[in-house]
Amino acid sequence: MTAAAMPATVRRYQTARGRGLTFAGLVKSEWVKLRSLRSTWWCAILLIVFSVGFGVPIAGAMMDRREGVAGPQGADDFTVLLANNGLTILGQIVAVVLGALIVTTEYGSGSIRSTLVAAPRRTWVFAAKVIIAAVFAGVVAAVALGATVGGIVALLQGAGQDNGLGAHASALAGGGIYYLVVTALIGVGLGFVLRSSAGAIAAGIALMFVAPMILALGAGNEVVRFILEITPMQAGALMTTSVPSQHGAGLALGGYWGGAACLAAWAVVALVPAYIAFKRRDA
Amino acid sequence: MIQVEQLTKRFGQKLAVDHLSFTVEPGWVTGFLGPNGAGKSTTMRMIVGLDRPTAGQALVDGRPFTQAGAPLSEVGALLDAKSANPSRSGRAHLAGLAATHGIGRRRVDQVIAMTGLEAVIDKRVKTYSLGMGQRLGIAAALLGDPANVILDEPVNGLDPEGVAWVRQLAKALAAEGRAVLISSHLMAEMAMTADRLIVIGRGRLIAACSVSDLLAASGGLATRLRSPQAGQIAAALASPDVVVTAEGPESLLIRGLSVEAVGQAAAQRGWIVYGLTPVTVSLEEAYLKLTDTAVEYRSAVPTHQGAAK
Repeated sequence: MTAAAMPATVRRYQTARGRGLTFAGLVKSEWVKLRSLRSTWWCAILLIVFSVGFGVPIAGAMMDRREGVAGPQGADDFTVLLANNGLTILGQIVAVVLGALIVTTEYGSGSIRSTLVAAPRRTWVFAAKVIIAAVFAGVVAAVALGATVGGIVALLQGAGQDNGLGAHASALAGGGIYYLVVTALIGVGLGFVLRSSAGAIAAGIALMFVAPMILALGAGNEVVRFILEITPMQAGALMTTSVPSQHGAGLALGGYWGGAACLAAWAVVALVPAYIAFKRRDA
Repeated sequence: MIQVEQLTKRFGQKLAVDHLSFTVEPGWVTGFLGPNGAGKSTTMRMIVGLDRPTAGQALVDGRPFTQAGAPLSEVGALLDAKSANPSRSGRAHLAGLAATHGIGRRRVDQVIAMTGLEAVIDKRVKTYSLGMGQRLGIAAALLGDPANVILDEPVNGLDPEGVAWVRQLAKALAAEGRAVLISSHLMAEMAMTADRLIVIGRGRLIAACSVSDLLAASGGLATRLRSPQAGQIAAALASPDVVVTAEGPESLLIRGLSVEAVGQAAAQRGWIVYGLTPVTVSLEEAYLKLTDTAVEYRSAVPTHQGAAK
């Protein structure tokens, strides 16, 4: 055996291949992983189909009573208000699922081990997943919203009405997309804490959907009503289904920007424990 | 080079790894042996930072692996057959890992060719056999041309051809100057692959030695001989260094002499020999003797659920 002479002639391998681990490389890696799963594209297609499928027909049914639906101040912004309605009804669930799956598919399949051996800097891995989840959810939400707005505008024009894009159109569109980005990040956070697809999705639906319904039953109580108003769904509604000048009076969060701040707080509340858990727990 | 220093891992009440220290040097295949549940996988997971040690540390080329600048070039690890998403293609799995380091498509194609996965690489991992899954894991481990290679039970589930391939690969990687650490619970497998052995049981170091050291410790060489002249041969061969045991009327177990030595003696003295076999079970016996008190889960206990692997 010639191995006895080996240690003296050891080759150096460090950084022999590639550029070494970089944050940009990790973000790209997360994108490669995300796009190579069918579940990603199912989520994207579902988000678009639900948005158009709910948004356009409901707008069609309501377009003859625009003021009754959106209030006198919202009539001009009818199109994006109704498009946001379509986008978020089931889209918020899809966004939670999408965000959760970015994390839980790694734990469910064991590929988290490969990921963390290639990139043991967990802070970077965490940040890369958050960025990819936010950007992908934002882009898909924008496409879904755009398609829904297009459908509603076509309906309105077909009926001889104005296109329903008022002064608040872009603020509302931004609100709708922002809301889905935050829900996706809540999914990411739940994914890191619970590590299981079923668990994270169930918890996400409970938080987004079930909690507001239950809280609404006790809305007579001041504390319960306050909690209801700061749930992601209610905070999101301030940005998506009411025009910026419409709300404020009597609501804990004020209006549009109060909702935005509350959603940002939800993202932080979901992601900080997730980061701590990811950093500290064994993979 | 991998240095494990006083590494300790506690899961609740259970000490999975107990003040374990050893070194894996470049240029050698180091076999990591122990019964199932001895703490081999946990130790490997701590080396690459998947598990956080309760105490002690593991260093890869002088620093904790989590601080590596190019982790894929420092450690290539096959930790579990299940380390790729079954819904993804093998190529996407490798491409995702390669992207972290800016490793190009050419290198990805290279490791696919090295592991013989060309035919299946674009299929989803769920369609792979266990052996193909292992090969994909090895391809991933080799992506960064790593200076250290860690393979956890790499021959599990492989067919004989695959076993031979892993054995040759491990030796070739070591011959290129890499530090190679391979775990197994099978002594015979390690005897054929490893230059050095680290034997653990219940998380503790039992022995760190070469394969031949272990052989020597177990009573050295042994030969089984069948002959109608068994009694005569036993008397002729017996000496302070050679212990001859009669296993039957025509069968002898000769400890302390190699097959070659016995064969030559037989030719010189004109003995009739029906059979002459080198006895390698002594290695397995030595291993079992070493780990006897350190076996966590005895087969006499009618349960399989405890085994960690």
